[in-house]
Amino acid sequence: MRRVNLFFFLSLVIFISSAVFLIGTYSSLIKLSKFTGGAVDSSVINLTIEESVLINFTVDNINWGIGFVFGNASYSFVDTLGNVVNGTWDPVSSGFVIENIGNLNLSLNFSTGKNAESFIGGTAPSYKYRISNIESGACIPPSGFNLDEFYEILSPDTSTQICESFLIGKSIVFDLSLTIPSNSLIGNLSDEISISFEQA
Amino acid sequence: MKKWMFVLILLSIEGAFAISGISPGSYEIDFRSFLEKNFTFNFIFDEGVVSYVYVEGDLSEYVFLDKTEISGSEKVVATLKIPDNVEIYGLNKLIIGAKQKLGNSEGIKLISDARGIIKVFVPYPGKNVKVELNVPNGNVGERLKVGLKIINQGNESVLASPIVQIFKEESRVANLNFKSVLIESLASSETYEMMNTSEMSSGVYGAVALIDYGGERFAREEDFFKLGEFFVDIIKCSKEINKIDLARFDFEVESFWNNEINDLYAEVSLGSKVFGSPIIHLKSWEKKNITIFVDSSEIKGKEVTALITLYYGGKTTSKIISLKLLNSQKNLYILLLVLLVILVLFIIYWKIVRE
Repeated sequence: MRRVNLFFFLSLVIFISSAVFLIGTYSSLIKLSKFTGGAVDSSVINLTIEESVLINFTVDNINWGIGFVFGNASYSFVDTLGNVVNGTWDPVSSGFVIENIGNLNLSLNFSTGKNAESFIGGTAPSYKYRISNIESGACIPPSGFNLDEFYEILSPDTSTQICESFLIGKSIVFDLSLTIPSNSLIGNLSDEISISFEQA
Repeated sequence: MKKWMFVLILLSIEGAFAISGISPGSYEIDFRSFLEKNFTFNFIFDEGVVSYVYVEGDLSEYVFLDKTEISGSEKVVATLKIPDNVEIYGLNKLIIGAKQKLGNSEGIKLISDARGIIKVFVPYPGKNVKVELNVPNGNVGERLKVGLKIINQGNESVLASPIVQIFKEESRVANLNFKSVLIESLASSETYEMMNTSEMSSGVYGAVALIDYGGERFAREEDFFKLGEFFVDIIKCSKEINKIDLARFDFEVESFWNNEINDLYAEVSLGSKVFGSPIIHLKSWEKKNITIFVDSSEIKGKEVTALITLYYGGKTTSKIISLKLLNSQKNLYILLLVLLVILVLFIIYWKIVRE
């Protein structure tokens, strides 16, 4: 008997829901029909979409934390691909992700305030960067510059073009790799990485 | 004993911004003596981000900014005051940028530098003409619209007399004469002529536009175009197939037609059997790979002759090729034998180790 009541209740709910849905659909159709065939005054809609050059750093923070070079090693190596060799820093598995969120293709340059000697110091330090596409064809590099290849930062304050054309709606990743000798500078190492961009 | 060197180094990188940019991205103007014009750029930065505004590039000494520092998103008006005359001819690029300012900071900091552009074209002294040529692809027999855009980049008006020469394999096959046109300084003129291709054959052609405008030499521009015929070629084929009942056979076809072909299908005759492909669509000049699975299990010998036939729009293209038959069953036996040897070697090694 209980089961019959349950079925009856469910049937009632379904029936009421269907009725509400049908009435709603009918009234919508009636409303729509009022829009068709009637003469209306013409009007002009002005919509101006301005060109914009806009980027978003979807990953804008990299933190290897505090660490040191193992005492028995002559150097440590860290990068943004998840590698930490001969050191106690935290692994970081993503570089900076830059997305073109404007409506124009961009030209992208970067520069740093320091090179390996002035940033890390010690014997044979290294300070390298690499640009890779997240989506295929996101960045068209200038001639002589290859994507997916690490380059040493040689001259500070020198603007280097990394994308001749950075396409709308696409993303690239900017990776870093550091070689820290055991006799490097100590404390909080500091530098500025500047990303400049303009319409391609 | 190992010596541990406890030298602490903090390695962190922070970006003090997320979204940054500028709108519009650029302006373009032509040079005019004593021109004074305002250009408004909307810089977009996260709230609280302080940036300094700068001018860079050609003619920067003639630009005045209404502010040199902004906080967050702000408008900046750059006023360009051009003097009577400048001697930097051609396209000049002025940059109006806003670069994020950093206070005393530690670690590696990312800073954003959004740059807007003002392009100022300064006419060359005397007569100077640039030409753009456009010849579209077509099919033999069609009339093609050959377009010219003649731009007067000099500070004098010119009478431009254009001619377009058509070449195939370094031989001139046609000449198109255009009407002469008077173009004022920094103005441009667009014109076209229809080219009859009924006497031409299919293939790749070169077009050269020459503009006589009274300068030292003609302005010149080149373009290439293709004339198509209703033909699809078979360009690449598998050279070998496995001797099995469902062997993959690949070949590539190329359309030489400047329109779509919507009803192409292929057949491969192998011995006494014929195998078909589904119907495919080819865009103009498109190359496409076709895969047909064939039964080659009953074919004897090491080689077999295959006949590929394409059917499209009432036309056919055929190609006879020789295919090497690979005995995949034999390869399987070799693989099993290798696996067996590895297994035996492993058992022997395991027994030696146990003993």
